[in-house]
Amino acid sequence: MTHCCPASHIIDSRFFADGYGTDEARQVFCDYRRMQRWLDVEATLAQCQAELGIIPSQAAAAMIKTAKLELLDISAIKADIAKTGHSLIPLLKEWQRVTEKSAGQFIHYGATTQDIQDTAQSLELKDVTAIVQRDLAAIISLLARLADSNRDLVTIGRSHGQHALPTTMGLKMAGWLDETLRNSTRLEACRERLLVAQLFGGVGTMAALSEQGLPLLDSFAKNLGLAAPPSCWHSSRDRIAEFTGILALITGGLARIANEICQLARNEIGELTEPFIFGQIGSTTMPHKKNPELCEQVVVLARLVKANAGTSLDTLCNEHERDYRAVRLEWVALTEASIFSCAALRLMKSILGGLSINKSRIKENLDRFAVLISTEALMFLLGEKIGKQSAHTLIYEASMGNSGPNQAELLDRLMACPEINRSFCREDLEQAIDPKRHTGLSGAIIDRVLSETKKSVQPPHFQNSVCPSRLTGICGCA
Amino acid sequence: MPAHPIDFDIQANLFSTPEGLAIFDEKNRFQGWLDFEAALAAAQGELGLIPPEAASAIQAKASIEHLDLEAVRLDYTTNRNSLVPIVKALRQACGPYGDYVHHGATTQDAIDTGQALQLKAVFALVQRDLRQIEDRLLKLAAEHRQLPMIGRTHSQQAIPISLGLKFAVWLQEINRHGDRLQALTSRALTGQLGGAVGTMAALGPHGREVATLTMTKLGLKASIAPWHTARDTSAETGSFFAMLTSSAAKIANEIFQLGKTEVMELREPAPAGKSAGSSTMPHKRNPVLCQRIVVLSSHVRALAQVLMEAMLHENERDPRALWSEWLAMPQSCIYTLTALDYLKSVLFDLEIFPERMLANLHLQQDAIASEWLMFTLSPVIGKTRAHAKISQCLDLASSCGRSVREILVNDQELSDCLQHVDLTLLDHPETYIGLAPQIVDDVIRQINQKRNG
Repeated sequence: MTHCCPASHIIDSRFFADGYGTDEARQVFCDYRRMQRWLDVEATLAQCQAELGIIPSQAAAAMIKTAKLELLDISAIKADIAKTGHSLIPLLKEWQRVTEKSAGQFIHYGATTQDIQDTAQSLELKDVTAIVQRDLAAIISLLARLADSNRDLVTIGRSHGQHALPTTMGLKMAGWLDETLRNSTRLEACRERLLVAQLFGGVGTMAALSEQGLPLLDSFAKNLGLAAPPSCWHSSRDRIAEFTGILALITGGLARIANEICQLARNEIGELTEPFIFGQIGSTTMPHKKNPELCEQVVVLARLVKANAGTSLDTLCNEHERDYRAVRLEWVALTEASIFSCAALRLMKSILGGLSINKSRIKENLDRFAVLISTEALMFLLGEKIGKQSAHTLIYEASMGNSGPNQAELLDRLMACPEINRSFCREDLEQAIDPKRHTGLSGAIIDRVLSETKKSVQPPHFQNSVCPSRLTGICGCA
Repeated sequence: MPAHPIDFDIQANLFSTPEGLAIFDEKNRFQGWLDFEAALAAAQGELGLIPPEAASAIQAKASIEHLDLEAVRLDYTTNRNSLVPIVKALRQACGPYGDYVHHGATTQDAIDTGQALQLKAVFALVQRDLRQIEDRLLKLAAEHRQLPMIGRTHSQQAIPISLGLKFAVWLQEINRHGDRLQALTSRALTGQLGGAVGTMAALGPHGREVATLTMTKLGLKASIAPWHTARDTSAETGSFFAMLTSSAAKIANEIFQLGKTEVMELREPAPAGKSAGSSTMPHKRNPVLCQRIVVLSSHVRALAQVLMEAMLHENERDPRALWSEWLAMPQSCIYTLTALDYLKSVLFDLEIFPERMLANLHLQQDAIASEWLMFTLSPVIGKTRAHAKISQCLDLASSCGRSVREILVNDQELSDCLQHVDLTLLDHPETYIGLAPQIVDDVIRQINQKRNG
């Protein structure tokens, strides 16, 4: 077999990666970028230590000068990781090799491996949360527009998979919007807890970080644009578990929207259709098929994120002061959950951006079943004279006869009841079941949700930096 | 004051069945432990390891009604061992022979064996239900082997199938679960008697004979080696129930989907009263049982995960893992039995609407015959060209609201190719069900052969 640069995880597939991730998100987690981030974190540490007089400033300057992945021998690092089984030391050794001799001894001064890797992970999360928040904002504005423009589009509401009562398409979409707003708020609250530095040494005591450990932590965190936590979190992973949990909530919410579109796109219903481009092939063997594949993919991604969120909860049960069984699990779960989520968000932007709303099918479905869907109104009308319970019974009996509902037939049957005939004329009943009259306070509820969007979170600025591999061409398969 | 829906008294048997509750009833659980103690004493008596009078006394008293349950209840408030209060009460009841009770066994021996006895009862019920469901599906598949309906993929209409084929696929799945249960039964119904760390040290030199005889008396298999920390069969049981209820949920969800107002091809049977509808919408009839099955399966899957995690025992015994099994196993069994019970109700009186099936199948008119058309044209113009050409025609037909046939006959290239082709199928796409009836026959034949052979 010829040697190649393997891309066996679907996230990295050269053919299918777009369905499972975005280039932007993959850039955040790229392994060259990760190595560079570790160097960045180490360099920042050195700089802060120099500022506090913990290490000589010339040493820090020399270290900062060489803290660039393109100056290092990547294959030597790889070989050394294989040999030592250590994730950080080979990088540091190689960095030390190219750094002025007198400065080299101050590399990684007083920190523990996990300090560097956790801090770098927080930087990854800073980027990811910015992407997610930006896309949520885009989805929120798409949904707000949809809810507003479909405010008066009367459609059938369904429960237990059965036609229930009239509602408006706008209200359905306002429900999606409200949930998305909540998720955006959740993420913002989580960001405050999540984006923290780690610099506490081997068992969280700062023993090797000098007496100035605490001010050092503050300036280290500040320089990296992170917060300084009160105590170490080497074995306290609630922040990450919370974040993956929120990603599961976000993608779960998107999956609800996607599934609803899928269901309403069934041929028998035909009310909504995801964007379908001519040339796209639904089936190899059935030329008539148009499959809601974008929506289906969102559901797939949400399931995968949910699984990773569950796995992340396993990291909470840490032992003693550090426990790599938890951290190494995050490396997979967090990466996957983040990249899958970014893919789901991007898909949902295109789905909502190009959603077709088939007004004539919506009306057709509504009219076809008009009589059944407004039985609640009929019950209240009849109830005024004959009591709500007797009205319920009469309507139930009149409705149960056949599987295909028929307005005239039901009204005939009801008018044939002497109790009803005595107090109502047929027109009263007909008016009572006009669906347009039974959308309740939909409009006002939509307005309430729309006014919430004005308070929604402003996404933080985000611009992905260029991957070190792109700068130097060290990545053979770029 | 039942707080768990399993035990609800007023809305009883929402997520349980009387049979399932009886097996896991607390007193029945204790009785299983007592049965173990009785069988152990009987075996030890027969082998001359304890006096025969002691063995007889223990057997006579090892019944829940001979114990002072008030004393047991009180004892449990201070004693943190799961078994000791029961053993103590049995000793009390056995008077002078009390010392011979639970001789050489460890707590987990009694409790694991008790659980094996409960599983034996559960498996018998599951086997009965699987057989009844299979019987029903055999009948439904045969009856509807040729009844056309539209097949759906990606939730979109694809091409026709027969309803019988759908039933036959369910049938095979249920039948495979029968095979799985059989294999599982041979492994899972095994008793436990190993002593404190599985060495049988306190059971004496004849420990292995004692174990074999004890389990024979209980109708269980004796394990060659202890399995205090080897919980693979418990996890396998949980996983099996997860699969079984997921199949039930698949079927239930299919009926739910096909019972949507616009589709209405299948419908869950109405309840005897008229309680399944809505309190505020008198027209509604909801597929309640189908939804309950889906809910139950979701819990059984979650419990399977717990049972899987309980495999991570440490050293020779590890209650952190064991106790999570105690909590998960009864629920998993009760929910499974409930889901099967609901599935039987749904399938036994399932409502089938052939006219709606036909109407839905004709919803897209002759477009649904696209595959047939493609394979009719392929020999003449090649499959790729046919796919592209038909896609064009379909788009044209739908955009100008005409039938595919009209577009075809007006297309120069295609009308030439189709000159000598019988296009009747375009009007009757419901005949395009391939070998569906024959596949149904094969499935039925295979299952009947398996039953007879």
